[in-house]
Amino acid sequence: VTILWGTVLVAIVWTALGGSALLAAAQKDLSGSERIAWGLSTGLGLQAFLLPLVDRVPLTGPLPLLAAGAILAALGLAAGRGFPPRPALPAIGPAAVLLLLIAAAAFAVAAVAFVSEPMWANDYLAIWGLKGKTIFFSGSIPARLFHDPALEWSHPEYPLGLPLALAALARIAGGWNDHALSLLYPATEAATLLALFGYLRRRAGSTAAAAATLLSAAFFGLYRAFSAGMAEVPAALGFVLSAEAFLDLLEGDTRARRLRAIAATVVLASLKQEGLVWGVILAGALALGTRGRAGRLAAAACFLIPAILPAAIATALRGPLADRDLDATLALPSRLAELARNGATVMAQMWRGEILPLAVPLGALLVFAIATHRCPADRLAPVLAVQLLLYICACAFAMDPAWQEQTALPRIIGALWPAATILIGERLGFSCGSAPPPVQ
Amino acid sequence: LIVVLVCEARTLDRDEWRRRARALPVLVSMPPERARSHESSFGFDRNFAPFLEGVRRATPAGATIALLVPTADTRYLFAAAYVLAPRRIVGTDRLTEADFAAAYRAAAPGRPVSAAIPFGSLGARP
Repeated sequence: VTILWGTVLVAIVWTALGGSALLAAAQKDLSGSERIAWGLSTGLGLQAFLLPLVDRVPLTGPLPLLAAGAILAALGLAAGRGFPPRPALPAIGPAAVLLLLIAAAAFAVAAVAFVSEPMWANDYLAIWGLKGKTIFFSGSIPARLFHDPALEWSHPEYPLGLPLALAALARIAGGWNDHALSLLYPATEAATLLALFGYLRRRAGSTAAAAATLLSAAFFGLYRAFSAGMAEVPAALGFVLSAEAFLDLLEGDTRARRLRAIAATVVLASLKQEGLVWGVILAGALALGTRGRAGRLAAAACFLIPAILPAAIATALRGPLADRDLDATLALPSRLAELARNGATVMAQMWRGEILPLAVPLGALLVFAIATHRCPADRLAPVLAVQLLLYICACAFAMDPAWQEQTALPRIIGALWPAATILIGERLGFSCGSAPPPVQ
Repeated sequence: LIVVLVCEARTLDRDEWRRRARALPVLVSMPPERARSHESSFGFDRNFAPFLEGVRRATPAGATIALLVPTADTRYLFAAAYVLAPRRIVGTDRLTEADFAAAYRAAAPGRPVSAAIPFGSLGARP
């Protein structure tokens, strides 16, 4: 048992190192902490992509997956001519150190909750874990995961990124231990916090970066025991990284930044359907928001194509599958009144269940928005707003909108909070005058 | 931002966290299938865990198993599908497709299997 905990930890470190090497060419202008985050996200995507391919090799054990990952990592490292030097950043001040210590304590609290027992959430048992365990023990992706009527409750239409990543980690670790595999969750939370701190440190200064990191770390609505085994925690990392790639691309279009946009978006869209939507919105915002700048469509395509690609490949391989929770016929003219009623139900329930109980922090955020200066990360605000609006619309299209709003909506909105703290951190840095000049 | 932070921190269920922190060293030292039966997964019915473990030991990984439970609560189905994976779990409406029938707190149809199944029984297709 202890050995498997150790090997899962080694598998996560290996995954992060492999991802970091693969993405070496894209790491120019990234701080050290950001590189760890990008490494883990890309590495998870890489292992998930490689697992079904190496499963076709008549060799068991972790060796084929390790070898394939090492080859691609070496190729990435060669393409980037090694890791580029890190940019020089100002020292971390005492206030930032204090905030980071509190953030580390909040992270430790969440980490204990994540690994306190084998992953158990309903969606883990019925969707993510079931598929991951089936893939791991079958040595392939069985067609019944998509087409078996006895499994129709397991959302066959969902992307397979997370189940494949779990199965790949188990393959490298040498066994399926769903308690040890929960280590992925503190690891992805740590990566999210490192991505936030590293990015904001170079854009808004270390104190503002530490404050935003703390706001994310202390968000126990997302970082809690129930989230272990679910897609929201890894997706939050994807939202943060793709938002950072978006903001970097708005500031200046480089090959490294485009590569990062592709890497973050393809991994996020492989994890959750919301990732596809997010990528399309970022592409639209980039295309519309950089008017007159040459190459803006090519930059937008760096979000659009990787957002659509995982769903397109899945549809080509297993055929189209409808989401059984949603009723698309509500868009028919004859049912528009019913759709409007559903929308009203969702809004009323949100008002009672989320907005009123959260009136104090929402009011505080409003005051913060009024009191602080505009900043480049404000471009993220409409993206977040459109994503939120589409979530609410999706709830209105649900077979049971009230149930969907109650069980899913707060959870999927919560996964956006770490990305929203980028905006908060940058506004704080710009308003306090601590933002350093942009690193080119 | 301090107001936001305080509101965030208040969402932490400290009693639950303390209970989890105390249980962690004990559960980490257990095999996951045993640890699972102690905590949240089977909070709805602790006896269902040893039943599934018995079925898992008595059936091959490629089997299709019809699950008979005395309730329509989907938590039984989800827990069974996960714990018994990669075995295929079907409902009683697909009994004819199954190699085995696993009945919780009931007698399973089919040829009785001699394996010990706590809190239930297992029948093989005749």
